[in-house]
Amino acid sequence: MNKLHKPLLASLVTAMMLAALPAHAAELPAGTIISAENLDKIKNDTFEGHTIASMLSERMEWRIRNNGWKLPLAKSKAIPLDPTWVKASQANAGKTKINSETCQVDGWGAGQPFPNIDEKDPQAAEKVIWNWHLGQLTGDVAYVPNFTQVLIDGEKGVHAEPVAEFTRYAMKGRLTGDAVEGDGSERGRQLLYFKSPSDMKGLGTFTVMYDSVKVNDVWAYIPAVRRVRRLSGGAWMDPIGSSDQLQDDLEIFNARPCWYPGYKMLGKRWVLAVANSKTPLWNKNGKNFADKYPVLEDKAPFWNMNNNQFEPREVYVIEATTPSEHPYSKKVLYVDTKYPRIYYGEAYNRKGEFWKFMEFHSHPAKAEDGFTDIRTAGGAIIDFQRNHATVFLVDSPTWKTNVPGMSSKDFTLQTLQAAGR
Amino acid sequence: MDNKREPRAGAPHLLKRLTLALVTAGCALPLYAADDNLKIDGYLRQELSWNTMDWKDTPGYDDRGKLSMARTTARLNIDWRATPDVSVVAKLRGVGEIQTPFLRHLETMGANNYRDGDIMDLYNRNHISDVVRELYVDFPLGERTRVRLGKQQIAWGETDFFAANDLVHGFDYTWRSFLEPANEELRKTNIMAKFNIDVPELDGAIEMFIRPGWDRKKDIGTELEVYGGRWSSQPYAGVDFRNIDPYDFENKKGDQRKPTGGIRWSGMAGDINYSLSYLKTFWPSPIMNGTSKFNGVPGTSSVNTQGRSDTTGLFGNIIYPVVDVFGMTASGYAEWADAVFSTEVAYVKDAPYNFSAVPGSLASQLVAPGFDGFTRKDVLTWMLRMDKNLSFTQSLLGSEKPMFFSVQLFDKWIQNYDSDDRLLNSVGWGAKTKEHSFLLTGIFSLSYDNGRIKPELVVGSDLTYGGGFAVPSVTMEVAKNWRWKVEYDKFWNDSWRDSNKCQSGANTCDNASLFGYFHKRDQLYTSLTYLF
Repeated sequence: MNKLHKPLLASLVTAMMLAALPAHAAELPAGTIISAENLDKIKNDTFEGHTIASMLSERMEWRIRNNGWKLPLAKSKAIPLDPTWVKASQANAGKTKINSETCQVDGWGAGQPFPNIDEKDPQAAEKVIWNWHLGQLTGDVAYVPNFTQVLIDGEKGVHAEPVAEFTRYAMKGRLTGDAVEGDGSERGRQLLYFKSPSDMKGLGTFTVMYDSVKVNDVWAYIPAVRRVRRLSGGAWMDPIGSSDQLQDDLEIFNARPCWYPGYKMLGKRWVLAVANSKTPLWNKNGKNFADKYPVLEDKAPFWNMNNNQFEPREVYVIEATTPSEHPYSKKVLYVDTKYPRIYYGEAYNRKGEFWKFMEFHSHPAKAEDGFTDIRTAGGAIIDFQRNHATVFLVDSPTWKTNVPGMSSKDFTLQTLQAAGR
Repeated sequence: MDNKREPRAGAPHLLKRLTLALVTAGCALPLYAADDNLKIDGYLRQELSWNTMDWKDTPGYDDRGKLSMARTTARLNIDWRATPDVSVVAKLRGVGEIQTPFLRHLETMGANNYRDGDIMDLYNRNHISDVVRELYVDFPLGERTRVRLGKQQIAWGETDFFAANDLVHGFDYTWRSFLEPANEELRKTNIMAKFNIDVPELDGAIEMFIRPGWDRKKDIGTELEVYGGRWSSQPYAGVDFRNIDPYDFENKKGDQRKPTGGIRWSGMAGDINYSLSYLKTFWPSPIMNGTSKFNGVPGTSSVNTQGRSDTTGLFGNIIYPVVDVFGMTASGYAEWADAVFSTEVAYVKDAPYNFSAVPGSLASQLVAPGFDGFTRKDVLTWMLRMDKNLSFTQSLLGSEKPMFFSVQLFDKWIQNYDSDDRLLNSVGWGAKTKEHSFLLTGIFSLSYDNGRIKPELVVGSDLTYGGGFAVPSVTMEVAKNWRWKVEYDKFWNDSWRDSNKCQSGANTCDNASLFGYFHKRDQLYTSLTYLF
């Protein structure tokens, strides 16, 4: 009798246990939109084999539950890596070393300096950051003639939408022609100036970034007095204009790695991120909100890029400790494991409280010379303490990489002055 | 001379026609605004200011609380990229002021009454050459040269307050005195040819320009309010000095028709930005060319009229003599102070100075000091400045970014100084120039609410002659395209000119200097701007 009943009892117990579970975990179809309404229901479901819960960081989940963020799921697509970049990166294997004294990577020529990272390496986090700093897939010249910096009040909506031009010119690590231009002291040059509104037109900065511990040289052109003024070297920690974004937050992390005192590898994980973004995220001639900002949702808090496509990406999670004079105490970064790209950043204030959430959307594209580069379609820097955000959106069709005929001579202080008419 | 005459024939007339075409085109601009090769922007601005003190020099009239300015400005900037390399830029400005009771009172007193002028002509300057602030074409010449032809403005030097090398143009201080922070609005633009040649091999560039002398007469020199209007200096409200000393723009010492120009090298030396320049330009301060008409009158000194046999005015002419200016600037970031230091030096050869003779000419004894002629002195003008971002304001004052702080020391150092020369700081006031004239200024700028609230404090102190100013202001973004500014202009002074003390001669009764000119001229200012 006992023998007969044992399998039955076991089956009954199993059946009861299964009945107690909410439902069978399911593989969700692409296009499913994760939102506050369905999160509890689908968090144990999977997408491409990963549970939804496992692909949301604590802050991401908090945004979905409390701040109207919605994530439409999209099938992941491999990011094509340009062969010249891959070749240059592989050439660095075993030959490069972080020199903390000079704040340089010895032995680096081009590509990402550390192509193979061992998670257990005590310098793993720092190497990921150096890969980002020196090895970004942005081409030798990234020319972005139109982007907007949408300033958003979480209650009232958009209150300013200045338009600017941005160019970054690599002086080192170049993949076309000689790897180094100039005397080797400069890593690159950057030109950023506003085109509208009228009271900001011409206002801009010219920056020389060095391949050493030296802080950037930055000059600003002030149209109201028609004059260039040198800016303080500490400006890399100051906000860009009146935005929520520090110079240091450009593409989430924009400092020379050695300006931060330390990095900690918190581990590898999967997150939902936008690596194959829709484009453009900004239609500069749009007539209304939906037309102008196709991915933003026109309701409070107005900064959620809810209509883009989020796919599973494996990332390193890195905690970066800021220098004592920095407004943040730390930044937590989510960096793709396959190529240098940061999807998310969390910034904490000096009291250790959560302050800002940064989210950047990217997509691969073809440069003018055929190089495969990675471009930013848009990004958000959300200040949750002030309920305010800056959403950076690019007029993607006008972006050009490796533009023929552009040389470092086109990016000087004189260029900034000439642009500022 | 009459500065209201029509412009001369030739280029200005061509300019006039071109401008008319542009203004007409401007009316149809929204149709083409979507074209990336045509960029249009601008603003509409309403400005109001009120006197907050009773002026000492408007007897029998209480100026306090009176509306001193109600000015409407329309600005249109047009940037047309005609070809990938050629751009045409026009900056147009129209203004309209209403005559407030206060201005009417100044007019009754005599403001701008030279040749039956209307006081509102001072402010409603809408002649086509006033409307066209700038109109130029930009194009490259070869690989490294950029050319700009047309009416334009050039700012040289490092500093905006009390300029040392920013002497290419004069400034118009009639509608608002030196407090206007956007000095590009006050610069008198000129017709010029400018060439910029990049020299990347030497980490720098050459800029050179020539002004052929095609401008209107009144487009040279800094125009102080010598007409008795809103920004006339105490105690000359309602006094139009041109009745006794009209302008002379064709004086041999400063002939508007003669070409002027300059060349500047700017570059990098290590981490230091520097520039070296030479400029032949009109000395921007108005100089009184005294008359010799009364020489020989018993009890008067002899006056040497310069540049012509005698003055056209009864007591003199206002002229802008040409000077040579050798300039140098440098700026660099100092990590030890986390600050940017800037300096600027201008060596002015033969800078003209009016002086106060003893016993003084008939005019200086009857009217004010300064009608005794002018002499020349080499002057070394220099400036030192520190710009620093003060991050403690973020925790202490809750600002969204570090406060911008700028402190500047400015000096005019007269070479071979001799106190017996009795050089004057300015005609009309008694203070004798000292060997050094030091001014210290500070700027404190904050930002709140993502740039929607920007408080600022500008202060200045005259270390040599006493007095100073403080200008607290706040600019607010009230909506996406709307800016509202409120400002208070406070002046104080250690001495000012009091005509009651002038019993024994107009030239010996005071020591008033710069901030004495602004005695009781405090005002409240506000502006509302719509950007498009």
